[in-house]
Amino acid sequence: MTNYHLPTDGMVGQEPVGSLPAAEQGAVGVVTAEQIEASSRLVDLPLSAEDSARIAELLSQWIPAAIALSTRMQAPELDNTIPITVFGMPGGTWATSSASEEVVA
Amino acid sequence: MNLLDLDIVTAAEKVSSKEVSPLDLVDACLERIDEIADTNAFISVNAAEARAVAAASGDLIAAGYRIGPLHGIPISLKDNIGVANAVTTAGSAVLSDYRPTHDSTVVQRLRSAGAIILGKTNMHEFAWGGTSANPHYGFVKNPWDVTRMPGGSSGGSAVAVAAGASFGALGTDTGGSIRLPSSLNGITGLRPTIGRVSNAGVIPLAWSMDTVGPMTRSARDCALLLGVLAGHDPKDAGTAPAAVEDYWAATAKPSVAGLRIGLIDDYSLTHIQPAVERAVNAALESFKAQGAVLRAVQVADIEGNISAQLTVEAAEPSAYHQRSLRARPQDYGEDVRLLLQAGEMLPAVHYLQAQRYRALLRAQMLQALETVDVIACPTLPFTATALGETSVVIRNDEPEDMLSAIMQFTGLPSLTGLPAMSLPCGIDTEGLPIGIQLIGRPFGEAALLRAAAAFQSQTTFHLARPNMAERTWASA
Repeated sequence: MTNYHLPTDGMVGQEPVGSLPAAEQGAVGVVTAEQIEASSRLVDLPLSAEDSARIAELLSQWIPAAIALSTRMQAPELDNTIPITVFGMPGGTWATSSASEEVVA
Repeated sequence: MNLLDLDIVTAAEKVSSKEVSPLDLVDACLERIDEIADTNAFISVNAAEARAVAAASGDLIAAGYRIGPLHGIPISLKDNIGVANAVTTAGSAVLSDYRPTHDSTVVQRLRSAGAIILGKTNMHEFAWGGTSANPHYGFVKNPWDVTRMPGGSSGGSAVAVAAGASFGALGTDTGGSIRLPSSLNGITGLRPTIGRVSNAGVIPLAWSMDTVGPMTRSARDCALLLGVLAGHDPKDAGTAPAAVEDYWAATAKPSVAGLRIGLIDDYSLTHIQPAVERAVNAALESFKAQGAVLRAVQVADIEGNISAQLTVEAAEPSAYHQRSLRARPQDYGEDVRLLLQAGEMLPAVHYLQAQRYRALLRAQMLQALETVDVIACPTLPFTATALGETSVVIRNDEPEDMLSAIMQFTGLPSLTGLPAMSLPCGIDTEGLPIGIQLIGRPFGEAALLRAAAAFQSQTTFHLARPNMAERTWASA
């Protein structure tokens, strides 16, 4: 997986706002294969060494931006902002035969 | 008269007047499906059933009965939309033999309106990607240039409509999966307000952002299809009880006189390929010439939207797929398997902060939409890239990650649950379609359709078709 510049996170002028240079080793949010291996044990997900390395590379692009967003959402003026999502129950009740049937993956 | 050049509205009129039969339409589509087999647009086609239904549909017309506004019209479905007893793979080997026992609600509604289900279209596996590069059923190819990708995840639906293999299609849209391929294939696609159309019986990608929507050759066709699909569904608690507008009426005498079109400062026209910039600016000028007014609007916290999309779109599918990912990892394509694995590594706090950010962003978008009627921007910052590309150059010869770049404009309505549509607005120097995106107020689909129909009444981009006569499919 190529280590691309993460673009397009809002724009100012001709440059993406919030775009991040390729994360450097040791920088905040850089993810290592060892961390992925440890995390995969927390969710009981077996991963090959190759997959761990590739996931680490991918998340090294995502996590710094996610940390930046999480930091912004810690602002006191946003304390009353609650998640947008309301989780509904398909079928409007506990799973019936027809509702649960669609859960296939 | 080439039947495949007709839009749904005209074809339905001709069926009603017995000028053409449903069987004529189905046979023409089946022939075209064969001609474009190399695009891999379809995963399955049930020709025998479609012809049988078409024959019965023709008998009803002969007897003086018309079931509904789509009587006798062949429609295709993205393959994550369940059809009773039909293989519904969601583009994955994981579900290669999955046959739902019930129709999804949207399919029930299509059938009730008289539509004929033609087949199931190819897609990015489980809708988790924007290129429709499917490792199991073939990479979907763009009919405007079969060496290019069609966008996704509803790539097969867009190709079917653009190439005349179906009069309309349904797609699903999480981060842009209806609008992206609509833009790249020169068709009109609409992502409804979240909760406007039922997801019951549709295989999910990300529960909090998924919606089904129409993909057609014109805004009028979109209005017709949405009118059939929209409405509360007791099988999907996420659907809204809000009244369904008369979309068809909205497109009957379309006008944008006095319409206030918002352009988000430092966003709407920023970081896009030059050809896209020219086409979108020309489209805005066309709206102005028809009486619309352009206004700058501000959305202070737009920065962060790509990260929020990646977090939400990664975490939710990973929860849905946990069982299969452990039991049958080999049945996923490599790209989707890695994304699902990566999604399990995301901290819950990042996911919830992304969901809080969505609430913040929605409030700011709604505030902006108090001062304008719609917001405009390109659908994509670029035109179709080569098949298999994982990066794209937008400006300054700098390659950018495809997954992030593809979300640049479509993610905004996806995160905020707002309706949005893509309509053709130009062709680049290589003959590839360009789309403009209009974003509306909650349950304001009629206003979007009215504006789109007005634009299409004064332009011909939606009438452009890939050159089928000169297409050498085997060369791709």
